[in-house]
Order: sequence, then structure tokens, then C-alpha cells
Amino acid sequence: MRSVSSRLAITVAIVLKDLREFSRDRLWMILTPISLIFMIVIFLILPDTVSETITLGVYPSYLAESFSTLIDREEGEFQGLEIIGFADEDQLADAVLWGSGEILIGIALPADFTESLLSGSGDSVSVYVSESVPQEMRRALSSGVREIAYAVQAVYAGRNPLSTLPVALPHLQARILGEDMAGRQVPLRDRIRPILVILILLIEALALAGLVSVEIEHRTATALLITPARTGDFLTAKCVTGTILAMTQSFLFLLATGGFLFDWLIVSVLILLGAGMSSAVGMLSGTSGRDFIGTLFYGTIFIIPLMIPALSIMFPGRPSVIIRLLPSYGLTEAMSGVLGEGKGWCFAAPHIMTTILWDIFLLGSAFFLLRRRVESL
Amino acid sequence: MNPSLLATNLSYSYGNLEAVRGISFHLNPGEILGFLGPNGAGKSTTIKMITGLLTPDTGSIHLLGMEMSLDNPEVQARIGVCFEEKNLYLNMTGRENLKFFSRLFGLKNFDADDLLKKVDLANRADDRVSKYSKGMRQRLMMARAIINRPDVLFLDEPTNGLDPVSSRTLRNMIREQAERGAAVLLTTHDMWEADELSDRVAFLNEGKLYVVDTPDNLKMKYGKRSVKVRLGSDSHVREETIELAAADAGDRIKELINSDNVMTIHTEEATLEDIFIEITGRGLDV
Repeated sequence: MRSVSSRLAITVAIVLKDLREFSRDRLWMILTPISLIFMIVIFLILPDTVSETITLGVYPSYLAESFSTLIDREEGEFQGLEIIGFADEDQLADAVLWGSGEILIGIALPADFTESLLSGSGDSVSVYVSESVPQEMRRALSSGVREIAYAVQAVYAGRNPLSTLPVALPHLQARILGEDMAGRQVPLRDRIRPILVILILLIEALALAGLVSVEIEHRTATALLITPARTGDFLTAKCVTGTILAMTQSFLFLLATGGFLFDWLIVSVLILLGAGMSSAVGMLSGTSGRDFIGTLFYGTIFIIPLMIPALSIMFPGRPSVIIRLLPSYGLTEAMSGVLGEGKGWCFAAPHIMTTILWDIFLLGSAFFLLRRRVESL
Repeated sequence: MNPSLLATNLSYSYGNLEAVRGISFHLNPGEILGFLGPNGAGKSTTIKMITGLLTPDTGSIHLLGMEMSLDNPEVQARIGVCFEEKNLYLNMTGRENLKFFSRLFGLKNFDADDLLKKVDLANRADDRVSKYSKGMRQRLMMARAIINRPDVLFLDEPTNGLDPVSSRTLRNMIREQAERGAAVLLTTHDMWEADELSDRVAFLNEGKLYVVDTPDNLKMKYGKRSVKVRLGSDSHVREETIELAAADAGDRIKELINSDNVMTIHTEEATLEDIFIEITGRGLDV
């Protein structure tokens, strides 16, 4: 009586074979480490802090002291505003134009500004604005200069600027809708980390797609099916291979970028779910494509929509309904919250549940279509 | 003796095209059955049905006493298949290919080198298959097909397009498999190979099975036996064919032998191709 291999032994044998084939593919063996290093470098060169202070350049410099006095006195109103004085108007203009980007706005007042204010002659004020400052901000600056004029006038006269206005100033109370992130803004580096993780996961989907399409194109899948290996073993092995490839890459990335300093268990669960989604995409792309170019084409068609929620992290505001309906939205949101803001299970749980449902749907579709394709060879 | 393979009334259609039309045959242990037919005759479709890769539209297949299906690992563990297309893992070495398949069959202490030696690939065992020639790949395919010492071996055009040395190596291996008791189903359109290897041959054309018999019986039944005599006198050489069935054949042969002009005498028998054409009305040309 011959021994028939167990399902597990057969699946493991196919997975090991796939990993060996992957390691022999020159394209992926070059592309994988390069893309991983590239992602880590991108992460590391991005700023790890957020400056919540706006720096305003002022000429002449003695007026900067008046501004600073004003800021110190009205801490609540002018929080986050820093004043730097310049001895020369040209220096101020150069700082705005050629500086490191720290000073985007400069105000040059005439030397007799306070006198002209007090006399009511209304001398002209130059406002230097960097080209990167949007139009709305420029309008706000005009209003700001008027406010400053009032304030300087008051300070110069030794009075409280707020009580010298001709009208009673309404009491302003800012109400933050949503979470007030003032003082704990997420640095760009941490905001981009989920994007890079999702990108790594989806790139590995292409590697799996290549392995699947080669099995179909060379009909090696047929050779497997006339052995004791079943179609289910083949499909399971492909899913496991894709998950291993995607998990390994994203694990290495997060290890190098400190991703596991957050709640490592949630991060691991999210990587696993992402790798499952990556496997589904890889199997679907591999099933659809007839050769390398075809696989790449279909892979891109799947990957671009899945990247959209990740890219939307970079823009403020709540994503549109369409974006929220995409399969990778829950995963992206959870990764963004956990890896960017250090949130925990309470925040991640609903997103994890959504992602599990999407994974089941995508993997189910991938298994169904790949089974049909393999059995019809 | 229970047949290793019993196929009854098999039919299969690709859409409107009837590839196989109600064929029945059996294959005994230790026997080589040659499936002869031109391209498109239905040979590969028949093998795919028997190995479980296609489900027949009608009919039944019993392999080693068990009903065949793709979900019967016990049957799959006892068959070997050598496909016409070289579906090997090109990025893996010859040894790795064999070891991988040995794991699928659950073979313990499998010696890949021994098998590679049998197919003259021992010195290329560690080369990737992508660097193998067509003949080397086909020999590796054959090695893979017999990795599990199958009880039933299916060979689909195993020597198609090979050089004479590779062809002879494979033919010897096929005989060895039959000698150890494996039932061998060999599809080919090479009538010479079928004649040399097969215990019985089956003529398949346009999905229909015309006849299944031993090559000798077919030649006796359908062939015309004759003797070809080459005669030479001075600078003139001529040939004369004498049908042995003719009433005066004996006298004519004696007459020629007694003359001084006989250069050579050859017995002529019908080839399988002649008989195939006679029975099916179509040649074996690809």
C-alpha cells in the first residue's frame, strides 16, 4: 500500500516550491529589495515633527519687539505666531524669496509707521508673500496688517490693543469639530507610513500574480493536478505564498521604520489582513493575465483603486463615499489611526471587521476564478 | 485478468466540436496500447478524460478497479502522465523538479539521482530546466511520469520531434515500464514507433475508434503480403513485386531464383500506416 501525502504536506511542498521559484526570478529579486529600501529611505527623509508656528518677518526690527510684546500679552489669540525682526527691507524680501521656507510672509513698515498711524496720514505697507502662499492667505494677510496697525498703535500708546477698538470686540470661541489635533499634529513621516505599507503589500501582489500566471501559461498546474495534489491544495498554497511574501516585506518595512513601537498586535493583525488582500489581488491578476504584460496590466487595474484610500490620507477632510466603499479603505483607516496617531483596538476594531469581510469576498472570488481557470486548462 | 484501465463509451465535445465519440477499450497490466491517429483525432482528449483532467460527456472510466475522478488521490497516486507539452518548472533544476513531485506523491527516501541517471541527465541534474534542450526536457518529463512507479502510465506523443538517441532512450524506458507490469497507453502518430512498441494498437480518427488489435493481426487481416525481387542484367536493373496470395506466386519465385539475374529478394508486409489509411480512409500525416 502506497502512502498518500497529506493535504498539509502537499500544500507545504507547493509553497516551498513557489518561494524557490520566486527566489530564482531575477526581476523580483532585484525589484523587491530595491523597492523596500526605497520606501524606507522615503520614510526616513520626511520630517518627523510638525511645526505649528507661523514665522512672520517684520521690518523695521524695532517694531518686531512691539509685535512680540503684543503676542506675549495676548497669548491666547496669537498662539503659534513667531516674529523675527529685520534691519533691512531687502534682507526681509530675500528671506521670504530665498530662505529655507521658514519665513513665508514678511511685513515691511515705513520707518515712521507709528507716527503716520497716529497722525492719520496712512502710509503704505509692503507685504512680502512667498509664491507658495495661497491666494486666500494673501487676503487674510491684508486684514492682518490692518489688525497689526491697530495693535501697534495701541501698544505704542501704552494701552491694551483690544480695549482701544472703536467697537466692543465679540468674544470668539473656537469650537473644533472632530478631534482637536493642535499640539499633537501627525508628522508627515507618520502620515505616509500607512501609504507605504499598502504600496508594499500591493507590489507583492504582482509578484504572486507572476507566479500564478506562469503556472497557467506553462501548464505546470495541470502537471500538479494529475498527482495526489488537488485544486484546493494548489489554491491554498498560492494564497499562503502570497501572504508570506506580502507579510515579510511589510514586516521588514515596519521593523525598519519603528512601526512595531505602536500596538504590535494590532499592527500584526492589520498586516495579516493586508497580506490576505494582496494575495487575493495577486491571484485575480494572475488568473486574468495570459503573460507577464497581461498580468502587469490587470494587476495595475486592481492596485490603483486600492491605493486611492491610502493616498486620500494625505489630504485633509473626510474621504468621499466612493472612497469609503473601496476594499482597502478600512485597512488604510485602521493603519493610519494605529500607526499615525497611536490609536488602539476600539478605533481599529470596526475597520478590522470591514477588512475581514472584504478579504473573505476577494479571496473567495480569487479562489473561484482561479479554480475555474486551472481546471479548464 | 482484471484490466488496469476500462473505458466505456467515452464522449467529449468542445462546444459543437465532437472530439471523442463513444469510444470503448481496455488496457491490461504489462501491456502497451498504442493510440494511433493524426493530430486532432482525439488522442489527447482521451488521455485528459482518463487522467481526470476532463470530465466525459458520456461514459465511464475505471482505473485499477476504481472510478476515475480528479478528486481521487488514491488513483492519482498510482498513475503517471507524460504530457506532450513540456510543463516543467523552468526556474528549477532537474533534480528539484523531481524532488518536488516526489513530495506530492509522498515518496520517502526518493533518489532523484538514480532516476536522472536512467534518463541520461545525471550530469545536468543541477542545471535549471530553462537551459535544457528539447530532448532533455522530454526525458525529464518521462522521469517525472515514472517517479511513483505507476501502475498505469499515460504517454502523450513522448518522442515527438526528438533526436534518434533521445527517442531510443525513451522507447527503452517505456519497454522497461511494461516489463515491470505497468499498463502503458501510448499516443502517437508515428506508426513505426507504435508498431515497434505496442502489444496492441488502436486506430483513432475524428474522435472515433475504428479498431483495436495487435499489429500482427491487423497486418494479417488487412495487409497484402508480397515479395519484392530486384533483377539485374548488364546495365539494366528492374524490380518485380509478387503478391503471395496469387495462385502462381510460388512458381514465379522459383523461376526468378533459378535465373541468374536476382540481385536481392525482400519480403514486403503492409505497414500500420497502410492499414490505417485502408481502415479510416485518412493518412497519419500531421
